[in-house]
This record gives sequence, C-alpha cells and structure tokens, in this order.
Amino acid sequence: MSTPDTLTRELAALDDALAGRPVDPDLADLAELAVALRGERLAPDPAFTRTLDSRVERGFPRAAAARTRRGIKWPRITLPALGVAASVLVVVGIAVTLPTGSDNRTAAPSGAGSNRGGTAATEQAAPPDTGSAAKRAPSSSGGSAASDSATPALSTPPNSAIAPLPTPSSPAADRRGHRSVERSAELVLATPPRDIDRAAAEILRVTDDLGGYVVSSSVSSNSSGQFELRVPERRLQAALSRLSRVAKVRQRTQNAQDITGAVVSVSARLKDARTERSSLLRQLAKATTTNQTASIRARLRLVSGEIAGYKRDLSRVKTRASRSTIAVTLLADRKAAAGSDGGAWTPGDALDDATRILEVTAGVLLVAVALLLPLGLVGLLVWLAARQAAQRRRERALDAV
Amino acid sequence: MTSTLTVPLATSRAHPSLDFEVLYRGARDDVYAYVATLLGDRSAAEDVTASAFERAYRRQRTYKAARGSERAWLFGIARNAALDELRRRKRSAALAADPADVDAAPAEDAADAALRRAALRTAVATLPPRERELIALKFHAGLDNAELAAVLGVSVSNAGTLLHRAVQKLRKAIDEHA
Repeated sequence: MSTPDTLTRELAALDDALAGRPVDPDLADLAELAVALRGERLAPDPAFTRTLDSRVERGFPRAAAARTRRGIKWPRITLPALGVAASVLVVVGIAVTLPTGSDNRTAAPSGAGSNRGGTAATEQAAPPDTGSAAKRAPSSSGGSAASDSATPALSTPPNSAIAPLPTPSSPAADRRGHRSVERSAELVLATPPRDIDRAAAEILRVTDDLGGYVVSSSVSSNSSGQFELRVPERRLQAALSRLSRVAKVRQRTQNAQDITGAVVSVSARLKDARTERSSLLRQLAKATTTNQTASIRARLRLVSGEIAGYKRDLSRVKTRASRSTIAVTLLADRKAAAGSDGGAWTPGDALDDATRILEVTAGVLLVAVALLLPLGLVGLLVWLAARQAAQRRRERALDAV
Repeated sequence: MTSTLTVPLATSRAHPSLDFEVLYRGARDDVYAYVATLLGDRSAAEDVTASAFERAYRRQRTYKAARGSERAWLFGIARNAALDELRRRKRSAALAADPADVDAAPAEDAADAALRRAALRTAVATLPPRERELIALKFHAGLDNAELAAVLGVSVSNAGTLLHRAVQKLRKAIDEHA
C-alpha cells in the first residue's frame, strides 16, 4: 500500500522522467518505465497527417451530401431564419388576439328615426312619474363633483343583456299584440379626462333632443360621470346610437322585460273598482233611509280611493313601458381619445395603437414564455438524461473491450 | 518537412480564445497515439482522429476555458469519438503491437531491449481497459494529471491515484512476465 507521500513522489518522478528531468535513484526503474511507455507511442502515418492537415486548412468542408439524410435535403436553419419565424408567429398571435373594429361600437344599431310609426297612445297615457323637476343638468362648470340625486338605481340586473334587442319596430308589434315591454339599457363610455365635461353636456343634449329627461346625474370633472336617463321607448335605439357616438363605447347592455301581466292586472282591478262605484251610485240613488245613504257614501269613498290608487299604479306601470331607462357611466380614459373624433386616425391614435401592439406583443411573449419554459425545462431534463445515458453506453463499450 | 497551416479566418474571429491551428498542431499526434492505443487499430484510429478534429473544429464555440484546458476539451471529444467507434464495432480493442514499429526498430537494438519492449506491451495488454486508457492518456498523449482528470471527469487527486494504481499494476505485470 502506497502512502500519500510515496504516491506523490512517484507521480512526480513519472512527470520528471517524461520531461527529461533527473529522478531520485530509488525511482530510476519507474522513470525508465515511463520513458519506455512513451517510446511505445504510435505515430501517425505521414500520408494521413498530410490529408488531415489539408482538411483542417480547408476548414473541414462539408460534403454536399452531408445534409442529405434519407434522400431529403434539409435546409440549413440559421439563427436569423429562426428569428424571422418567431416574429411571424408573434405577429400572427397579435392578429388573432387583437379585437377587430371599434370595441362594442359595431353593435350599435342605426335605427334612429326608424320607429316614428310607433303609436303615441302610450306616451300620452304615461306622464313622467318623477315630474319635470327631475330634469336636471349636471354641473358643467368643472371643479368639484356635483351629485344631484342618490346613486342611480337600475331596475334591471346588470349584464343580463339581450342582444340584439328586437328591432325598433318591435314595440309597435308588441302593442299590436297588446304586449307591454319595459326596456332599459346600460352604456359605459370612455373618454379622455379633458373631455368628460363635453361628453356630459352632449349626453344631456341628446336626451333633450329625443324628448327624454335626466332622472339623476353625477359628474366629476376630469374623472367620471353617471347618468340615469329616461327616453321615450320608441326612441331608445336612436338614443343609444347617438349616445354611443359621444365617446368610446366600453360596454353596451340592453334589457327587455314583458310587463303585460302587471298592466292587465292593474287595469282589471281599476275596471272592477269603477264598476263597483257605478253600482254604488245607483244604490245611492235608490236609497230611502239615512242609514242606507250614509253606508253607501262610506263605501263610495273607499272605492274612490281604490280607483285613484289603481290609476296611479296603472300610470306607473305604463310609464315603465313607454319610457326606457338608460344608465350611462362615463369613464375617464386617456387611451379613449380615438373614440370621439369621428374616426379620423391621428398621430395620437397611432401612438395608442403602437402601445397597444406592444402590450399585446408582451402578452403574447409572456404566454409563449409560460408555455415554453416548462417545455424547455422538460426538454432540458430529457436532453441531460439522454446525454448521461449515451455517456454510460460509451463507458460500457470501454469496459467491454 | 515544414508546412504552414492556415485555418480559415472566420473561425479564428468566431472564437478568439481558442486557436484551433495551435491546438491542432500541438495535439494531432497525441490524439492519434491515444486513439490508436484505445482502439488497437491504425486505420480506425486515423478515422476517429480525423472525426475528432472535425467535431472539435465545428464545436469550437462550445469550448469554455473555465472547464479545463483546450487539450483536455479536445481529448474529451476524441475519447467520445473513440468510444463511439468501439460501440460501433463491438469488437475487442486489445492493445496490439504495431508491426510497423517493430519493423522500424533499429537493427542495433540489443536483444534484451527487444525483450523488455515485448514484455512491456504484453503487460500493458493485460491491464483492464480503463487503466490502459490511463496509460495511453498519460504516456502516449502526454496529458498532465489535471488534463487527465478533466478528460475522465474525476478530481485531480483521484486521477493521480488512478494513474499510480495503473502504473503499479503494470510494474507488477512486467515483473510477472519478465
């Protein structure tokens, strides 16, 4: 068994002998062995070395057939080619993921004015139950927020969209079939902060033009605004169409609810009450005693009260059918500049589009990384395992010699 | 004979830290000697040597100085090429005496020197393949212990121990055959 010192000495002696340096006399036989082993070294054939020199000098030219495997000539894939392919993939990804057109604006119907054939009976029968006092203008003077009423409350559930709603001629059809339909809509508009006041004023003007009124409004200059509008039901589509042009449409929802049952029910109760009052009036005319007269008059007062209540109910329910509610939310959005300029493509729009493209590109790349990273890790592990296996097979070949 | 080897300029620019020409010039005969010892076949050794240099030429970008010397990197490639050849052939690669060398031995060699050489070759042939490879790397290819370690994937001290053990076995085998 060699001690570490012996091992070190003998290894050094081997190196010294190979280098031609003197070796301690007791290790002379080891040095002789080293030199003898080196003398056993095989030298290459000069013809071979000349050929190899020549190949090295020419940079190991590839044979033309080298890239032809199994009869298929594979193109040499270069890094630029891979880069171009990746770019094409990214562009295709963007083209697929980018929304087409202008958001929800494409859904805006253009039926303004096409519903003039609607009957006016409903409108006449249903005066606004909030009175004209509710018609208020939002603060357009800028500055602090002005809140005219409580938060607008919509009777329709949000996002329970029925799209597209019946065509503008549908209400008339409903009425022909004695159906009463309550319609409402929600609009979310986005406009640059500096345009909030302008957009708010425009919303009020559109409402006015169409014979509607503002139930409530709340506008915060340069920040946001909320409106609850009522417009004649037959002008709902026209109102939505015009409001959609005020600013960029972020969301548009329309709802419809059949309230024929409520109308019929209240009408029937009113008719019954009127019939009862007529009957009571006839009984009163025929009454002979004071007691009878007093009793009938008392009943008449009750029935008259009921009739008044039913009339109010009927008016209210008919108002729901004849006046549509539009809830408008106005948002400040710096990116929404393109929405209210009539479609002209400005340098600002170009910048926005470029930013959007960059965002989407980053998103696509992020998704690609999210997909490729685990795949790459798995591939790396497989490659490492395959490499280890190949090396083990090589080592086994050596052992088998 | 003196010749000037010119390696394509693009290659030199591509990897300034690796001078392939210098490496080739300094290691060509060493690689051949090592591969010939491992394969025991001159013809196959020439093919594998050429293949190893071609692989090294094409992969010179993958060389990293932090992982070892250029020679160690080159001999790693040569070793893999030789082992691939062994696998392909699936035949014994016993260290064969080279008839050409025997023929080339000077006529004035003493008979005992010839006997010693024959005993040495026989003794080397009796070593296990891995120890024969160590002998080839050290004495035929001229690698130092650090390069040995890098080629075999072991530590330098472990490489020294393995080499010492192989030499001890060789001495014992020579004594037995003497």
